Amino acid sequence: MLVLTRKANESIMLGDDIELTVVAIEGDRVKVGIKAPKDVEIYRSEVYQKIQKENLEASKVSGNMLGKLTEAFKNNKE
Amino acid sequence: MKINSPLGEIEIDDQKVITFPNGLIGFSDHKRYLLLEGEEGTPFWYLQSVENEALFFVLIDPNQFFNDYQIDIHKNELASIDLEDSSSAVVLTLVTVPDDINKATANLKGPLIINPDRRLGKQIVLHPSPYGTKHPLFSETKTRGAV
Repeated sequence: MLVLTRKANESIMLGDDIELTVVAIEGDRVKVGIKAPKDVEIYRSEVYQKIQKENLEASKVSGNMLGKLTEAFKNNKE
Repeated sequence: MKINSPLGEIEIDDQKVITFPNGLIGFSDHKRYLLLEGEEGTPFWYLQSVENEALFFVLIDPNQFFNDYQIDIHKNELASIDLEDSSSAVVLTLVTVPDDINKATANLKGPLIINPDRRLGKQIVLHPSPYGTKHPLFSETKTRGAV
């Protein structure tokens, strides 16, 4: 991993059009400002990873489970 | 063209393909899907990749399980599927089905939003949000914010 030291109000360019700025440093928290094109998706890593993991689990569904799932729904409704 | 999906053999009608320009999170290489309706009278939908027949998801209309499910969709996210108004977006959530079907869960934190007219879709991430990634579908204790 590339490690750079920056002070408050200093920034880093990622390619031509993404700029990360250290907006403020307060104790153990760093506020980061991000300027990026609208189509660049920005997520907190832990949230992104959680959704990614859940998507991966959701993709592991087999055909024979589908009928059972429909049954479970009907039984639950009764 | 036909594919062998977990639902059986499916004919792919290109007119009906929904494009997720960014794919789903963790599946950015797979952008084109068919949205298939489940058995009548059930709230299930299926999302079948047309690029990889093994890639397949179960979806639900979250409102049929979680009456008070409400989300704010950011206008940039709406714009990415060519919508201005969230009332025209179809919102569906992914379901995780473990071996014990009764423990199936819905991911209310990462719903899919779809523009049915333009056939565009996107998975969004709600943050901050009271919703988690594993809300039991069937349990009597549908705890809010379950993780």
